[in-house]
Amino acid sequence: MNEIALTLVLLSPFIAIAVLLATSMRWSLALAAVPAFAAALLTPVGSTLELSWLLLGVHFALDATGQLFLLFSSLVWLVAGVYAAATPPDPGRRRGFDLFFLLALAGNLILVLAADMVTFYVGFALMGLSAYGMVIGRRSQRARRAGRIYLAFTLAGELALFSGLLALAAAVDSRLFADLTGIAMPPVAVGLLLLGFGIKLALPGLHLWLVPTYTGAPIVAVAVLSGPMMNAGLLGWLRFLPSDASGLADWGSVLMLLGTAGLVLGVWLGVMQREPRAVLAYSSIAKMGLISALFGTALANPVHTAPIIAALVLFAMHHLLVKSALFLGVGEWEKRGRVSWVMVVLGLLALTMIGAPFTGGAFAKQGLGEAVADGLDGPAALLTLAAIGTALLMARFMWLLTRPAARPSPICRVPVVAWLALLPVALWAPSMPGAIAFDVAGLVPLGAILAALAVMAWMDARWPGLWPHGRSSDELNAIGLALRHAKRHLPALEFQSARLRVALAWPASAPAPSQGTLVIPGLLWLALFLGLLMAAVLSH
Amino acid sequence: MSLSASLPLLILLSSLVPGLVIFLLHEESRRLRTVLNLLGATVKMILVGVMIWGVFHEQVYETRWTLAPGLDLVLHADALSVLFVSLSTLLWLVTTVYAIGYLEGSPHRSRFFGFFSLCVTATVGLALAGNLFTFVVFYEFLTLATYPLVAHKGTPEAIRGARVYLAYTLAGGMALLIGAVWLRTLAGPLEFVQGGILGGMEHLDPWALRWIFLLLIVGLGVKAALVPLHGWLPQAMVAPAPVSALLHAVAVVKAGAFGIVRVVYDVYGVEFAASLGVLALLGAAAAVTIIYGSVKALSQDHLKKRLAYSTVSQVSYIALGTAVLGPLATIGGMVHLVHQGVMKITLFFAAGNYAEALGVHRVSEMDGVGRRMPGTTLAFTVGALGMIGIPPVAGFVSKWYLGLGAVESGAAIWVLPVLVGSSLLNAAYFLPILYRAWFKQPPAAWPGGHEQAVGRWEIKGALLWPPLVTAGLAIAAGLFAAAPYSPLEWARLIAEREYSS
Amino acid sequence: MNNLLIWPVALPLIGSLLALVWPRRADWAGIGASVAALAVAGLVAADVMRHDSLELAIGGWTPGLGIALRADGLSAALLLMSSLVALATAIYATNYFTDAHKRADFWPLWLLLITALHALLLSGDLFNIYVTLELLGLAAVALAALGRTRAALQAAVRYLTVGLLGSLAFLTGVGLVYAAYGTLDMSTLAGQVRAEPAAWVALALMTSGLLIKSALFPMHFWLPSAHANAPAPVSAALSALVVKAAFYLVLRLWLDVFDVALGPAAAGMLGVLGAFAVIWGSWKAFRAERLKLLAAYSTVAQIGYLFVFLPVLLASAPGAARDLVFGALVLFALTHGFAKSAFFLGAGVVLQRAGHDRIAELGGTARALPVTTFGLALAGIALIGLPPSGTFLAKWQLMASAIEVGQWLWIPVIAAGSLLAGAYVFRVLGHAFGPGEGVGPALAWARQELPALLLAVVATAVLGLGAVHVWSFVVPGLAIGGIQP
Repeated sequence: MNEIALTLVLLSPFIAIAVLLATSMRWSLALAAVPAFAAALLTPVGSTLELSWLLLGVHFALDATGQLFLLFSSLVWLVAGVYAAATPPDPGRRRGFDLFFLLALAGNLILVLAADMVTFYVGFALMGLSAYGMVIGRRSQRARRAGRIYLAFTLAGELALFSGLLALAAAVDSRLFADLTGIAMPPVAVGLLLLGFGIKLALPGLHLWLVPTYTGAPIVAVAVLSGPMMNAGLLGWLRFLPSDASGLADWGSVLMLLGTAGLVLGVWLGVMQREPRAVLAYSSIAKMGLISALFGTALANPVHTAPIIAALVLFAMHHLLVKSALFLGVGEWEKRGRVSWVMVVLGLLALTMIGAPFTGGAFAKQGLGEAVADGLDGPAALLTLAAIGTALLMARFMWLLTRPAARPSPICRVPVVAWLALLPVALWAPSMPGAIAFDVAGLVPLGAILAALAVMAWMDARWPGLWPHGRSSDELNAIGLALRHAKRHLPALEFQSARLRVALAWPASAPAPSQGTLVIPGLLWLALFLGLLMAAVLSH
Repeated sequence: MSLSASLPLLILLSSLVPGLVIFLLHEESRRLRTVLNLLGATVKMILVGVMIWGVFHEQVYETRWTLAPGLDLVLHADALSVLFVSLSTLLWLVTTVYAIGYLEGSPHRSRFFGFFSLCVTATVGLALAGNLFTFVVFYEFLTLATYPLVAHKGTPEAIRGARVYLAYTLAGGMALLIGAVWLRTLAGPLEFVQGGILGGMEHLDPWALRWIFLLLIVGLGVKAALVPLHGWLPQAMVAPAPVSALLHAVAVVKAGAFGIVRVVYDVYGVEFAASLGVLALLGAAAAVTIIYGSVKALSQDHLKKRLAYSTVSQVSYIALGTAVLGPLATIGGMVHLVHQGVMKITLFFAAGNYAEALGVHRVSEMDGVGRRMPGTTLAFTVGALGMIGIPPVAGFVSKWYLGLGAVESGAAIWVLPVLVGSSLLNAAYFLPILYRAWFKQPPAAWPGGHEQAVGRWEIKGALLWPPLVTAGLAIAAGLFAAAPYSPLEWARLIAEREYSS
Repeated sequence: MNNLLIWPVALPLIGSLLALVWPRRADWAGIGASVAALAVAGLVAADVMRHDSLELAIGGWTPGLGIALRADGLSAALLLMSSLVALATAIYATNYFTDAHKRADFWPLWLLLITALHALLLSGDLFNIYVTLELLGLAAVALAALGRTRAALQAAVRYLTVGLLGSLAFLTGVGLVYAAYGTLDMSTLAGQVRAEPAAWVALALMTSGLLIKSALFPMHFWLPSAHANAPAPVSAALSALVVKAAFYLVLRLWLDVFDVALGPAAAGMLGVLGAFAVIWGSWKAFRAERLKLLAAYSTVAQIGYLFVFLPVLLASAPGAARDLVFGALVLFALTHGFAKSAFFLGAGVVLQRAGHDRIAELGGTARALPVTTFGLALAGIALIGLPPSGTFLAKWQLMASAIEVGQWLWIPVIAAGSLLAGAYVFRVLGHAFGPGEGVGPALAWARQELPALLLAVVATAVLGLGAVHVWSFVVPGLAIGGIQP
């Protein structure tokens, strides 16, 4: 019985694809995620499905962590599916988007339920690559650039993952996650896995794809990207790096460092952005930085591992829901502008994000706080920092929303209803009804947000042109500009990079300004990869 | 002659006889030619099926003919030869169907199909060769049979391309011949034995063996397009699409790679070769080829040239798998023999369709072909994704085993960057094509092609079904890799028998 | 039947006389004599297989005073080859000569050539050999001049002068032998020759004379123009048979008569000259502009190969090792005989149809003359030495034996020669398969295309697949058989 349920969950996106191609019924987008949601609620933990003749032998299982991920991810996919299905399609383009939507959903479901490494990788690859099709959406200049950057980074991440997978599989001599308990992890494998998933989780240095993608892609794509897909990276870490394996302590410290850097980076750059989407993107970076740092803490301190991870998962789930909901709301804002009830809902979401009292965010934060309370001062301080940072970001976000939107367009009822339906869940999950807590410490961020708003209002009144509107420039462009600037003064460099560009550029590609975008991520990634490799070798 | 003695010969004859008969046929006797072709292919498939079953149950099939004192022509079926023979036979059938559709109405079809059949005969003979002498004989025969196919169009470029091809392959054949003669003189008549036979002969001078290995690899490397011996392959793109498909997927390039596998596993023995230090050389050549081929492919705008350089790169995966010690790498290399064949032939069929239907030869002309020819482009997409190594297409399985084998044997430090780098490069030159095909708007008018759309179908069935079938096979080989009777399972069998001896 | 040996000589002679007397029925005389000679050659071969060698003392007079005819494996094989080639060429020639005068001139001379050749192959006596050699040369010159063009006549005159020089040297050598040893019978001589100055000088004289006749580099300069300008059937015979005869004599002298007098240096010298011939001949063939000239230079190269065999042969240990090389040598000679004649006959067909034989203008030959092109291709394969021709096996064995005796020098020579041969053969084929109307429209294939094809098939398929029989025929007692692992 359970096996049939799992099979149905995994097959439903493909069935939906078939339905879509045959009948063009767009509601298949929404229905595809229903079995998954139902299964998450109804199927008992511990169900397995094994198909030894498929691929290299696939194993699926539903464990406790998986159930949480499945539940929240499928909910977001469901809402996003409704939203997408109900939005009137662009002539001639929509089918591609729908197809890739369903493929990405399929990939996500596969990886959530995967019980062995190869199946996880298959799902991860499918999800990541199909998202490209969603990202390029309307084929505008911006969307295409976003797609290219996203694809380059995703491919790099997948290849790093593949290498790490190989190293791990060779060391353990098995592909099942269940066999990963209590082993000595080879450092190269760990490094590569952290790198591969780190790209998904936008660790600093690997985050360069996030902002262009979130600002350039259609809103539904961003909603699923920022929610379920990003957290797939976290699931990857959880699955591949079991808490009781040895050799992870040093990596944990590295991760703590990177995570903190991510948090700071996200807050710092986020408050300077000019678009709401970009602010949310940097907020994701910051939040993921926090999660990474805490995960690193868990790895570095075996005593605290279990409680931290448990709290972390809840926190991540909460973030998943809220972020997706925020983006969907921004979508509404972009279409209709500064409509009051949209602003209110977004405000509420922002509040739960920062962990205001009586919200689910607070519960999640509290859970984390308890987990790190026991002698870990660094992480505790980090939590506080994160709280303040999030508050600042949310303030900036709300501020930007007060500006008028570009072009108002008519309301579509169904997507809005779906989004609103998400609201209570987002606000109060994962807390249980009776456990809404009131914590004095939770008032600090609230105060911060009010203060920041006040400051911003004053600055804006004082110096009107200070924060003009328009598109955010992202870091890749900045780096590209800097490099070009340098090239003008260093002719030799130009020759070399021209040669390199010929080798790496896609023939007959887009106009010149975006050519830099491929070289830089490639070089950065290569440098990181080699650096990791050398580190591992030298330490052997 | 009993069945076990005559089966290899019969398999050879099942394409030789139709080929010779087809030469005599009149240009206009289409039906008879088609019947002969398909009959030959079907008979061959049945016979190969019998052979597969037999070899699986450790039955011995051997045909022997003494050509000179001490020189026997031996056709012997073992697990490795069956792998290659079944690939050749299956793809020959598909390519024949495609060629019949492609060449309809063109001149010199009898000549073409005659040489086509001879080419397959040579490939099968090569696969079934039981000693190095027989291998050399069929290797040279393959050169002779494929030259007219490359020169078929008769244009100055075709003749030029064929001349370059011939120069390279004859020179390579010479090197192979000298190496084989030397080895024969040194070690006596050597039949292919699983596990290699030279390891047990202690009296042989290791330096002589090293030089012989170099000669053999140079000779085989010409056909297998190892850098820097690959120069003929992009030139040979002037051949008609079915020829390119066959050459790249099955016949010539694979023959070279297969030869390398044979030499390392069944003549030298992989552990002995490793102790001689020659595997390092092979591995280096393979690694350089993989990267170089991919880098060159990036800068090609002509579609078939890009695919040619991609072949240069991909076939060396087989050499790479051979060069890394360990059963998993062996499995990876050998299963890639099958997988690369199926994927590459799909790509070439698709390229042929684009040229025939739309007159599109260059990547820059491929905007929006997905809209006009969705079936062909779907097949192309499957092939391309497989080349990059994206599951569940078969390429992923080979890369997985190659990588795993490399990590296991400690060679990961150089193999993994090569694998990863080449996957990235593959993505860099295939994904833009896919993007253009699916996501861009088609031009107002295509450069003219010869074929028209047939009703609802984008192109006639004989040209549409082969790529779809092979694409399906590529997916099936990956998806059902762990199922019994998959290429992966067969490769595992070979590795088992190789390392246990 | 001991009398058997006289018939291969007598039959063509009778035919020649008949052709002279009845010029209008000369064709019939020619074909009839050729068929009969072939039949008898077959019988001789069968007999040799049974008895290992045959001997006939003519008139019953014992050697010393009388003339002996001998046939062993080598001569019987060559005899068989030459009768086959002669028959095929004769069939071709019936269609080639349209002019009655030319036909009347051709047949008697042709049959005389065949007579001389057969007699040479069967002779067991040095003076006899001289006579037949001389006769062969004269007949060849006369036939070469049949072309009647200025170039042909010039080439024939040069052939004559050079040939006479060779014969003179040979005669001097024979005289010296007679003076030193008192006998000219070869089997008797074999026992009497010692390693002494007389033997050396005689051998040198005879060999040098024969080298001129067999056109070994640098004595080859007469051959290309002579063979290229002669009519096609004549060229076929000249290249395939006549030069082979001279080489056969070198082989006989070196292996059977003067073997004790030889050292490795001499063989080495011949080998080096042969190596030069291979490279030079192949290169010139590659650069040739006319098909027949290409074939002629190819003959120079192939003769070179035959001489490269010599040092390896003599350095191999007597017994199984030497037998292997010897068999390979014979196989090579036989295959080349068939292949070269096939090539010349095919070139003849092309020349007749197109009116010229300029290679660059041979476009469309494959379409117009598919059978001939196929024959040329098969012959070309044998000339290059690719499987399944007999030359491939012969080269394999040569290389193997060269490695075994440590004479590595020959390997790159053989490799280079083969590659160049590949270059020039495929140059021709490339043009033939190319577009163009240089050869005229396609007609149904004519009877005259068949001989070339059949000869080529023998060279490439029959001798390739049945090569073992050459060994067992030429060196009986050699252990052939399956591989002992």
